[in-house]
Amino acid sequence: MELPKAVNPQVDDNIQDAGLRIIAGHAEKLQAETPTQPLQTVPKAKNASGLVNPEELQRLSTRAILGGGLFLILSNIATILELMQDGFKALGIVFSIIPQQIPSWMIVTAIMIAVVAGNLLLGRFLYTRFTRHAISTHKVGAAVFLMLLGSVLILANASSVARLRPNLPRVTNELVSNLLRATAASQDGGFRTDYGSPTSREDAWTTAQSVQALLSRAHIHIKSGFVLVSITWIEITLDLVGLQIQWNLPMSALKSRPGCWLPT
Amino acid sequence: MEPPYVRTEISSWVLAAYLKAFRSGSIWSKTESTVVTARISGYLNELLAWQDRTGAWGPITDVAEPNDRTYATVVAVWALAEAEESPAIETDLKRKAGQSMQNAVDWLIRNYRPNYGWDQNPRQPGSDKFNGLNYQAMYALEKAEKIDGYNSFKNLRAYIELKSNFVETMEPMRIEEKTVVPSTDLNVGGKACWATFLGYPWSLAGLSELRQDPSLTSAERRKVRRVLRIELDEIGELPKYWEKGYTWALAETVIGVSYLSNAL
Repeated sequence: MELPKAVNPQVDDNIQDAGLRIIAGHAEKLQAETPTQPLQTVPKAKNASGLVNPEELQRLSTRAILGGGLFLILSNIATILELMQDGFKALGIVFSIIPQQIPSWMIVTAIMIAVVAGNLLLGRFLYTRFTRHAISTHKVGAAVFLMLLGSVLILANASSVARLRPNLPRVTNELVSNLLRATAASQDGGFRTDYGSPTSREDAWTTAQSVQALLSRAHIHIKSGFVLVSITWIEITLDLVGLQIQWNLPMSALKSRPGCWLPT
Repeated sequence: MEPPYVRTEISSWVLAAYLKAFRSGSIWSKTESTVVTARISGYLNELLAWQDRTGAWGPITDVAEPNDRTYATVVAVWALAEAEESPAIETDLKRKAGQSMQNAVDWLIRNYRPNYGWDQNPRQPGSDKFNGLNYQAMYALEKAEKIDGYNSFKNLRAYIELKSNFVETMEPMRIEEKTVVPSTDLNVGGKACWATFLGYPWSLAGLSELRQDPSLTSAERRKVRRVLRIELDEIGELPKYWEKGYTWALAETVIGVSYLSNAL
């Protein structure tokens, strides 16, 4: 009786297709009926008597699937971390175990090394399987395709890593650009109480806090002339009204709400 | 409606902004600097004159013990610590400011309530924590600790216990965290003295200082790092949260983020 082709010479230790497993099981049955034709091309999947062991086959294919899955996870670790970020927030303790002394660039480098290594392993794994029966031309095509796939995965993960990091310079930049809106419509350098409203009033307290904020930032260069104009505005205001708070402002427009009147 | 009145906190903020600008060294020319230092000294003298004999400041210029408040004292300590480090202040005035700062720090240490923090008005103890005020007070105390010649308080048992208790009981702040002076305490010497305390920016500033504090135990430093890491997870949300709002609140947020950036 002739053996099914699928289990004949090309079957190796990494069979992962469920259909093949069924056929292999069937082959074992057939093998038992035809002991003179052992399955010599399935060396690691044979038992002591030279017969195919279905448990061994299942174990090997599970290992292959796990290996592929592991490489896939490793090659996308940054994207996965980003997807799990909300979960990590709830479990703040997860990130707290990383000592503060470790600079963020080291963490990022470690993640990217894992991503690149994972992509190389995944590429090699897929290449082996894609090209087993392929002719040379197809092998080149598969290699090119896998390189492209790896590049895309690495770029996607690099972008995820950038989003994972608390990017303080970017956050500070965006906050400062909002803060500067408070002086956009100002003729003389004072900061308005509401940076979203061009009609809100300029105020000495708000301006002092804003100047302090601009001078505190580490990553943004503010022209000294700009600070000088704002401070001059404070000087003029203080010369006129002293350290009095401004009136007729909307509720909570200042750190202190001056419009709140109390009977005494 | 009440007539306008002076808020001492404005004086402290303006003074701190001036001192910061002067220290940057690029705002005024050498000839302008003479005028500017005179002005800064004038503000400093004005602020010193409003200190109560208890060591505290009130939000208004009527100096009396019932008007003593924590926020006014905290911002004054911050401004005085800046003055001590400034080349704009003459030695005699620095000595006077240093002594004044030390008295204010003593008042803050005396009025700390274990497992609670500071009340805005120690004569009116509350139950809800003023988180933003607590963190800003801790920030100011840490700044004052660095002023040689006026920092003997850092070896006081009461101060060491205060810091331990603060770290033990502190919690991470959310971006939206804020507390206000209760309505029962709005009236200070017949004047409405509202104030809003933001938690998030001042916790960033306070924790940035605490994480470098060599007097903390390793367990306390771990707690500081853990809380800071949880807060850092939210920092990317800041630009969206502050797309619109009041300038004072945004300015304080920029200050908190900048102090953190500088410390990392």
